[in-house]
Amino acid sequence: MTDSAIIETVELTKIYGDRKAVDGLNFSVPQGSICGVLGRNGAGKTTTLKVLLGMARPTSGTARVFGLDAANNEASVEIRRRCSFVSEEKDLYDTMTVGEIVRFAAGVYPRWRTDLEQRYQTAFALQPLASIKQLSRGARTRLALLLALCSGAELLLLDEPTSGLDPAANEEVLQLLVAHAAREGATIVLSSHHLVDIEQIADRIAILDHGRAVVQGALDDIRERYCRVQLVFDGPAPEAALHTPGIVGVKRDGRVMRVLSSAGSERLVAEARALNPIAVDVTPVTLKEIFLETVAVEI
Amino acid sequence: MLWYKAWLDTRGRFLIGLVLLVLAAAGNVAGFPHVQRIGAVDLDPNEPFHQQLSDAIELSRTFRGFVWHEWFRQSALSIGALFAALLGTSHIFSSSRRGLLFTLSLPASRRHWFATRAATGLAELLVLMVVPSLVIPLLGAAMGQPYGVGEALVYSLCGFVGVATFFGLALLLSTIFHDAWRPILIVCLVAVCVSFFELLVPNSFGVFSVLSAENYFRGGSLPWAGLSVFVVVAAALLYAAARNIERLDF
Repeated sequence: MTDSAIIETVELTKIYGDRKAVDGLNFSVPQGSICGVLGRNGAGKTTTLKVLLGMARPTSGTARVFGLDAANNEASVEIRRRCSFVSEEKDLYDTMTVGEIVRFAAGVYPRWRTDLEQRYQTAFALQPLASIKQLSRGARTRLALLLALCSGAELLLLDEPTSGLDPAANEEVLQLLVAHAAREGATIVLSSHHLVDIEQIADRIAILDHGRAVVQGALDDIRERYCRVQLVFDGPAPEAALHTPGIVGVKRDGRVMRVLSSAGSERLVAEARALNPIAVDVTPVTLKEIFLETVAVEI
Repeated sequence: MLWYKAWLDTRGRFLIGLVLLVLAAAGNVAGFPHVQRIGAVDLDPNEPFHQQLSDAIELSRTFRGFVWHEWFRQSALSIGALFAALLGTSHIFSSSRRGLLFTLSLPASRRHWFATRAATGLAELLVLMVVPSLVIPLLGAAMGQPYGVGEALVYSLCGFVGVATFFGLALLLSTIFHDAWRPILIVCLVAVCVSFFELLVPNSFGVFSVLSAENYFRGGSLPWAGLSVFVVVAAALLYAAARNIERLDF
C-alpha cells in the first residue's frame, strides 16, 4: 500500500450474477485529498464504494481502507468507525424524526462531534421535530450530509452528495465540504455526475468506465497533461496513424484532424508536422471533454 | 442504540399482536360460561375426529381444562406463530427496508445487528406469550374461576419455545427471499401443515403436546426432552440466518 494512500484497490473485481460491476480496478486516494469519482451510470462507482464499506465482498482483488482489508468483517467495522457514507438515495430511517436520527447516530459513532452538530443543524435549517418521511429531497440530502460530517470521520464517502439541491444550496454544500476537509483534515471521495462540482472542489479525479479506472490522478496534472492538438491540412485530413504515446482519440472532419493527448503536446506536434499540416493549434481541454473522450458514450 | 432501532422497526407489529392476543385471551375466558351452558352432545363414534371432539367436550367441563384446550393448546399457539412470522420477517437487512445502506454504513457488525434484532424479537415474543396468558388468572378470579399464575406461566413459556422456532424459521427465510410475503406465507403454511398432521394423526410427533405442556396439564411433569429439541432447532435456524446475513452482498 502506498504510504499516504487512505484507499487503495488492486485488481478489484466485483461480479453480481453475470454482471461485472467492477473489473480489475486499480485505484488509490491519498490522505487529505478531495477525490472526485466520475463515470456513467453503471460504471462501478457505487459498487466500489460499497466494497470499501464492506457492504459487498470483492469477487477478486483487494480493497484496503486505512490499510485495513475491507473484506474482513472485523476490519470493516473499524473502517466504518472511521469513515461515513452518504448514499445516492439518501435513504434514512423514515420512522424517526430529525432529532431522533441525530441522537441515534451520535450514540453509534464513537467520535461524534456535538459542536459540529449544532453548527450544521442551524446552517442546514433542519427542525429536530420534523419527520424524516416528510422531508423534501433537498432537506433529506442536508440531513444525510449532517450525519456524515458530524460523525468525526477521517474519510467521507459521498455518492452524489448534492443531488436534489437547488443551485444555491448546491454551492453552499460544496463550499462547506471544502471547508470541512480543510478544517478537520478529512479525506473526501465524492462520486458525481456533476463535472462542474468535481472540477470546482476536487484536487484529484478518477474516471471509471466499465468497472475500470480509465483516468486518475491530480486534477492539475491531468489538466497539464491533457491537451487537444488541431491540425488543418490543405486537403482531406490524412488517414495515417499517429504513434506518439498518450493519444486518447483522433477525429477527422474534412481538412481538420483533432487529436486528444494525455501526454502533453510536444511529441505529438513533432510527429504531426511530418504530415505537413498548414496549421497546428494546441488548446487546453476541460474536464468534460476529457470525460467524454475517455468514456465510451453509447447513444 | 441498536436496540432502539430494533424496537422502532418492530414495535408496530408487536403492539398489534399484544392487543390482539390480550383481547383473544379475555374473549376465551369470557366464553367459558357459554360453553358450560351447552348440554350433553351425542357424538357418533364413527364420525371423523370423534376422539378429538369428545376430548374437547370433556376438557370444557372445567375452567382449567377449557383454558388449556382452547387457549394454550390452540389460540395462543396459532396467533403466536403468526406474529412470530410477522416479527421474524422484518429483519434489519431486508432489501426492501428504507435506510438499508445507512444501516450498513454504521460502525456495527452485521452479527451485532442481527443478534440485537433477534434478541428484541424474542423478547417481544416472550411478552406476547406471557402477558395475555396472565390475563387468564386475573379475569378468572373476577369470574369466580381461580386459575394459577404459575400454571399460566408454565404453558406460556412452553408456547414461547414453540413460537420462537417459527420466529427462527421466518428470520432464516427472510435472509433468502427479498420480499416479506414469501417468508410469512411459508411459515404460516408450515404451521398449518403441522396442525393438520397432528389433527389427522394425533400425537404422531407430539408437537402440540410439547408446546402446550400436555404432560404438565395431565400429570404435572414438564416435557423437557421435547422442549430441548425445539430450543436446538430454533438456535440452529437463528445461527443459519446469522450466517446468511454475513454472506449477503448489497
